[in-house]
Amino acid sequence: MSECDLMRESMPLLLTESLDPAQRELTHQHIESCAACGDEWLGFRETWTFLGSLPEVEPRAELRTRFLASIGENVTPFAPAKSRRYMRWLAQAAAVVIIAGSSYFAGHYRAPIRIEPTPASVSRYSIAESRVLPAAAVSPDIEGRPNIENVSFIDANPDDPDIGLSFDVTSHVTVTGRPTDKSMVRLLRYVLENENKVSPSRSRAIDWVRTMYSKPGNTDPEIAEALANVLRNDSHEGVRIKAVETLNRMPGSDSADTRQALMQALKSDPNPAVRIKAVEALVNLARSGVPFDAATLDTLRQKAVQGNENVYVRVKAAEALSSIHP
Amino acid sequence: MKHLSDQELMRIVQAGDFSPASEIYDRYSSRIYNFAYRFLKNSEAAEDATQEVFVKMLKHANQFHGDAKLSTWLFSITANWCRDYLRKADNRSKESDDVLVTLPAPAEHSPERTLEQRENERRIQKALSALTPEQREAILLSRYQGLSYAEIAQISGCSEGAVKTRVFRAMETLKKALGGEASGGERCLNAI
Amino acid sequence: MRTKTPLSCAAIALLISANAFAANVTITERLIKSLPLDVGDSVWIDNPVGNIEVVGSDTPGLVATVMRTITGVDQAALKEGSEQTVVSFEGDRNVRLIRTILPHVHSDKWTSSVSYTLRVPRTVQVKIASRISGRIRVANILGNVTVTTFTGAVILDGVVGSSLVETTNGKVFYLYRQKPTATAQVQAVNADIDVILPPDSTFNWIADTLRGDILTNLPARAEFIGNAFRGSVNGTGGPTITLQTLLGNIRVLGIGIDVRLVQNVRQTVAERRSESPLLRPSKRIQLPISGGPFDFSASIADVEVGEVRGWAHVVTAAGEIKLGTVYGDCVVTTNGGPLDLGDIMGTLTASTDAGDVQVRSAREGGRVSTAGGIIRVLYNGGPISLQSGGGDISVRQAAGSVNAETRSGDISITADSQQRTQKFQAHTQQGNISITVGPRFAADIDATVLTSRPDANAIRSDFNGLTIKREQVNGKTKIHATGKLNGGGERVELFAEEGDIHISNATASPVTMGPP
Repeated sequence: MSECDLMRESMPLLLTESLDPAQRELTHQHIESCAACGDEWLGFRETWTFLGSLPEVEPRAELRTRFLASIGENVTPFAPAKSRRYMRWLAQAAAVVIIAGSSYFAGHYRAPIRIEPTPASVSRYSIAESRVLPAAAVSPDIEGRPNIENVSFIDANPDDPDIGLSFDVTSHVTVTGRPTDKSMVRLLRYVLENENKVSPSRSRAIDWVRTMYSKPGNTDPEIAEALANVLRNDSHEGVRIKAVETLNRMPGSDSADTRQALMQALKSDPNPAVRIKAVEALVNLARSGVPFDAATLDTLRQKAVQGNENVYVRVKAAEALSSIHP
Repeated sequence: MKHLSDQELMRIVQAGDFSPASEIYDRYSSRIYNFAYRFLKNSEAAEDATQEVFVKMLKHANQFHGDAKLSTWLFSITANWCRDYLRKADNRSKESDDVLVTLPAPAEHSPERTLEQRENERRIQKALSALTPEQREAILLSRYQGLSYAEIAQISGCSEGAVKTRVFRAMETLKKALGGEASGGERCLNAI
Repeated sequence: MRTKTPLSCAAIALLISANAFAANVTITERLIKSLPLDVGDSVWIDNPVGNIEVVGSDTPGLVATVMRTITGVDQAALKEGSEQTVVSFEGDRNVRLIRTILPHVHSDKWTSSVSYTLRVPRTVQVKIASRISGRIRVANILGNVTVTTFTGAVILDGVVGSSLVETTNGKVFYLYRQKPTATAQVQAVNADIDVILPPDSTFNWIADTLRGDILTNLPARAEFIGNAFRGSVNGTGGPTITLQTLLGNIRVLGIGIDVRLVQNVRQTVAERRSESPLLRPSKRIQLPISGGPFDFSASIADVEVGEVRGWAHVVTAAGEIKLGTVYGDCVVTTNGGPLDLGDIMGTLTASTDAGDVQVRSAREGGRVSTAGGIIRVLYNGGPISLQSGGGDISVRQAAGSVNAETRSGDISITADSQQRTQKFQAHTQQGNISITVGPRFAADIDATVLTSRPDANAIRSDFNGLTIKREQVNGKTKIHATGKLNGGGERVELFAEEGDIHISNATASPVTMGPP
């Protein structure tokens, strides 16, 4: 089995974070250095994520009732023959319990059974909800001057007297919780990565993330991932500068994804401040002993000898190289 | 009962007291049901499986060893039941194209699930049914139930290496079926 | 034809040793292999980890002595390491390729290294690729030599043909037994380079190092062309020896001449020409106090001075500059690197081509600019101009007027609470502006936001008295707010593109600037 085959077989384990740190690192290094395996990994990751969209289904409540009713029948716990000699008295006692228990269930089966809701059935608020409401369900009193945008009109069936009015409405939501709550992390990530429209919120969100998620107990790899995406994709230099500065200060942002984003920024960001902060972040990683792959070493070397690059960036790239032990 | 661990609940059951039954059911029925449903693609069979699993759990409680995980044991029972079900030739034809929309809506979605979401669900279900039963079992336990390969090996009665291969092959098939574009087919050349 | 040699042919000496201090076990195996190789042909060695020695001789053919060392935690690891560390002899009598084949990723239970000692005909071309080695040595070769490695010492001893050495860390030695007749080129990042040759050698030399010294004890005429030193030794003519190392030192020494007679070429030339700081020597300065004015210029330098009892003038090509308190005017210029300035009692002029600028206090104001970076000023007591090519600008306590401009980034200005009125100008092409003033601050406001969001409420003010107009300009929405705060005063002119503007009523207490 070739090395690529071995690595690919480990990819599902990487998705479930079941590899030990050393093996995880080795696998990531291979993925970064092998284009074919990199594509495979991307495909695996996308498929894995997509599989998650299959929703959980709740079994019918009647099933629970049926089960509880069925154990009201004479279900004797199975015991091996040799243990029966020792536990006959226990079995007899158990039989008494079962009979008593079945009476309980039988008695209550005739009455409506009140089933307490399980945690799985508590619905969560989704910020991405879209609703279709009959007019009768909407209050005719509009208060608070909501912000309504993107209005459109629908008349699907001209023979039908019904029409539709479609719009986006802004409602103010405050979500409270700990910085480590997944919903909080996901909301912030969404704000950071929302490329759909130019938003002053993204810049402020990065300031806030820097304050909150630089604390060691609050680190979350998703925040680092979101910042890495901002560094890659945001068209505003000021926002990219903030993103890379925040990444540099966040403990635990030494993932392969972050390194890749830093390398890309060092290679090709047009703003020298971004390149400086990217190379400073790489220097810090090198000094902390994070291993660098051949592609990163190559980028640093090229940057160090690049005649038209800012001298400070070149010197820092050289310093990063001097700290690396391949 | 809610404050007791699985092991503690099972000890009570093993002592002949079935009062923890409802608590154990509440903890695991959803997972068992979802696994059975996705494996068999038949809601009726999944209900039967769920019922049978918990009855067997009580009947054979003494076979449960306290150092094991209850979830692993329950999934073992479920997987065995599902395999037996499929083995019966006449049951293969009953693998229907149940679509989720005929069931009560999933807990976390509003009734007006979008067309796109329903289409995604249908595609995933279809892709899962293209897997062999062994691969489907492995991927369902790994992806949706979060079990380790060691646990899956125990449930499936095979080696961890076999589980690894099954999961990998399942992912390859699912990737192709669900529109994975990555070729990844060339042998990579390692630079020395 | 490729031969993967299982190390069982020819003579094999097997040594197994147990390390008494750890549980590791080591095995070393030796192989001697002879192969035909014609004069004038090539030998290539590709060995990621391990020493390499190639020595030319008058005997035909190639003789390779290979020592393979595997260290593992146990016998099973040793076995795996042995299986996965393959020595391969490939090619033919014209081009011999000797490779160590290691998996790119392997178990961490074992490590391996292979060292090669090759005897080859003197006239062959030699090409070596390595990653980690203690030492690579090529000696007595008339042909061309190429060496590529990452770390370790590279020694070219008696190489007559042209040569190219590429390395990152480590050291490079060139020892010429006779006068050089072919080009030599070294490209390094952190390595020091020593070239030792007969003192009557004639050659051109190019020395390019950003931070290191360039030393020679030979008669050399050198001048700057660009940032590199170009010179000639013992007259013009002869081959060109190019030595490039970003941060290392370069020495060109004559055999038999006292090493103490070396001169620093950079120093000598810099005394004559002082335009570009990059051409100056690199220095390191760390001073708690400068008793008088401080005038400093260097190529690459990290400068840290706690207190300057006078004016300060610092010019560098690159590096971090940190000044504590300056009792006078302060001029700081660098082509790259962050500036960290404390209490500047006089006028401040600070500029960097790339990097952040932080100023604790600019008592007389001044001018700060960076082509890319964040500017943070804690306090300005006089008019100050702040310009960034991309990055945020913030002033936490503005007791003088502020003119802030950034191409992309947020601008935040907080007026000193004692200020009843002050002139502020803020302009950002991509970002938000936030102005915080006291409740009785008086000003004439002119604020404009240009946005692609037609329904944006982009100008918000805690004060009444602003009139907001909206119009479409070239496909964007222009929101223009004008009005007077507290009856009017100095002009506050704000412009934000693709952002928003907040004018806030201060609640936070100011930073107090006490005497140093």
